[in-house]
Amino acid sequence: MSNTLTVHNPAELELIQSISRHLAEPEWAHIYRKEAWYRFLQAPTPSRTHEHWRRTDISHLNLQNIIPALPVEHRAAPEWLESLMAGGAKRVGGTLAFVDGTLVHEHLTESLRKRGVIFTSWSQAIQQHPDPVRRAIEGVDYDPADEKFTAMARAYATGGAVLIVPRGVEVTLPLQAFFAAEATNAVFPHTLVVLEEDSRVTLLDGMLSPDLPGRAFGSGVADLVLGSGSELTYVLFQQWGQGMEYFHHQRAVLGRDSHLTTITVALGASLSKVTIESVLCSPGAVSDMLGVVFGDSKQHFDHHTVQMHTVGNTTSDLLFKVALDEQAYSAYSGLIRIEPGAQKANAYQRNENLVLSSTAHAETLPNLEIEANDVRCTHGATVAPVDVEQMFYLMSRGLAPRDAKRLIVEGFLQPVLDRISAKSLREMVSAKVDEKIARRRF
Amino acid sequence: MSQVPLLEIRDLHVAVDGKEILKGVSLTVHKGEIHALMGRNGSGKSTLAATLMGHPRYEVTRGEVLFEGQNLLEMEVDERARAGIFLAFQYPVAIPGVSVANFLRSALKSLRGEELGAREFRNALKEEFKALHMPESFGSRYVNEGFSGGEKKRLEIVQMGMIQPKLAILDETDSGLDIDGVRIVSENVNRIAGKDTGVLLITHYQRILRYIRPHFVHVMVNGRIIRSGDESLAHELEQRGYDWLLREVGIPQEAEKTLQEVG
Repeated sequence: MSNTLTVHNPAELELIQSISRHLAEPEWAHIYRKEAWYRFLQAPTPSRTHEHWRRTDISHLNLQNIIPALPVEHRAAPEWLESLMAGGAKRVGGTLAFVDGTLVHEHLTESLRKRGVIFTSWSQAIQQHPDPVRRAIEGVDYDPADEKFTAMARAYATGGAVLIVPRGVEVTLPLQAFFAAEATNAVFPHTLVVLEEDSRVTLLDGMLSPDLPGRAFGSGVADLVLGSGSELTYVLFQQWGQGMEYFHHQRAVLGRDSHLTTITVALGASLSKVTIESVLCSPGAVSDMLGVVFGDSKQHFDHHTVQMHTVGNTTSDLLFKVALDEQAYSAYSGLIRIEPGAQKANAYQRNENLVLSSTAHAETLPNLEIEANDVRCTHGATVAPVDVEQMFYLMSRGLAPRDAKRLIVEGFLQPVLDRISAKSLREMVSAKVDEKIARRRF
Repeated sequence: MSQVPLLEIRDLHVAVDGKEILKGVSLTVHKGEIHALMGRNGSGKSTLAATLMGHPRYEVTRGEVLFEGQNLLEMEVDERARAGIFLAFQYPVAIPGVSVANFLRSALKSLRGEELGAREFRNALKEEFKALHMPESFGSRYVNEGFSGGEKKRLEIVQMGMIQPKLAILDETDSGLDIDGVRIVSENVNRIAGKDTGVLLITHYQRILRYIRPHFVHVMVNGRIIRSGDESLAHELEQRGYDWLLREVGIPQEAEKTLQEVG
């Protein structure tokens, strides 16, 4: 811990203390927050000279000036969020909703509660279930390239979702956590998922807001810990409004014979930079990473994936699909790393980009670091406009060009959305994607 | 016949990438008529089909095409479809992620200008699949993705049945089908076409013509229709091949062979 750091502005430390006080955090949780905050101060602000930040310019951000909103009492969910939650309510096992960092809705079915499932806000989890939370955050690893932002998120998070599924419990109905922004100009979503041995669950994290009047900032982290034999489907659904600049780091640590399916759906924000990382550190672990990006206007997306095989007999697969219209930009970079001795590792990676206008731009940058000799590893990437023959075929059946294009885009993205096995979540996410596609004039 | 022809092609010249493929084709199809267009590979048959449907790669350099008296060449691809033209593709493309049912529902909505009732649509699609001996589950599969050659061809006719066009252009629908497939597809083309649909059947085999019996047979060589006749012309071709005809119209075989290599 960097206790030696000099705090130049005591008011800032006061901020961290007041968050902890506000949430009545025990000492260990306050130390975690404080350490994160020191790290935030200490880490250099990334610049484009750093490979990981080469494609996203953040020189206009003054991170030191961004402060979180403290939770307020008696806050209600806005109507648009209420209706979203009501949509699939009957087919969902539990819901958490935060608006500007304040918990506004919490629900978990009685039967899941009885079976020991914990699905609650960060502040309640650390009060009521300190041990598992404490164990999990002790293992938190700060990725150097994203440290400025992940440390900031951990220091400033006020709302946060904690999901702990006990050993052997299979949660059949999906769970969902919504992080919404309304009036604040800074949000810090924080998710911790711990799956004990042989447990199973699907969780959606939804990042949502209406279009924001000015510029807004967000930095989030998700820590996913998969115990041996566990199965997690994790959906990150991002539909921040215009004006949001969002940074996110998701890190999953996969135990023996565990299976992670992670589905990233990015539709919103003016700028987003997201790292999705799977660490396969026990034999038999399987990571399936899927992603869908659909951008328009001048949206900027920068997605980085990491398939980290630290031991052998592990498998990772990846399919990332990006469709861009108007002047949207997307960079996808994917690292497959197979560490020395990780024999019999299998890793696959595929990135497909569909470019719908001459002013949209997609970059794809695969990167393989293979340090074992008995592995199977393939990767592939495409960047292509809409296929002329597909357009001709669809139009020959009477579809106007815009409808034909719309079908092609929907079809391009659909195979990834189909992988969300929970019907209520799949329908909700597909509807949001289709809504955005339908708004396009093409 | 005094009525306005369904399709009237006059002296059509078409180029692909600057190279002339059709060199003056004229052909008239009336409502209810079945025309077979025969010829070897590379003779320009598929170019004619793609041009009639409006494929952007095919450039009309001369001539005109009227559909029910309207200038077809000025219409966009989708406008031609809405006017009543249907092309059964020789090589139907896959549309990943788009289910057959979703695709056809969208197509029918565009063609008719109104949404078909969900039940009515489902039943109609079910009937067409049944008629083409395809399992109903094809409705939820992605368009042509992972389909065998024969399944693709049958799906084209399923679409023809749903769409009920005024003019159906069948581009080598028989290729890639086994004997039963040819029979099933043919029976359905006859059923769907009925008395009113005009059919332009492109083939280089005679076998489909046993089931779909043409009123007229045209032979295309090197971008031109060199001979037109009735059904008996097809029989003659089957028995004697193409060479006698080439000799008769004065096209040296050597030239024909060279052309085949090019195109």
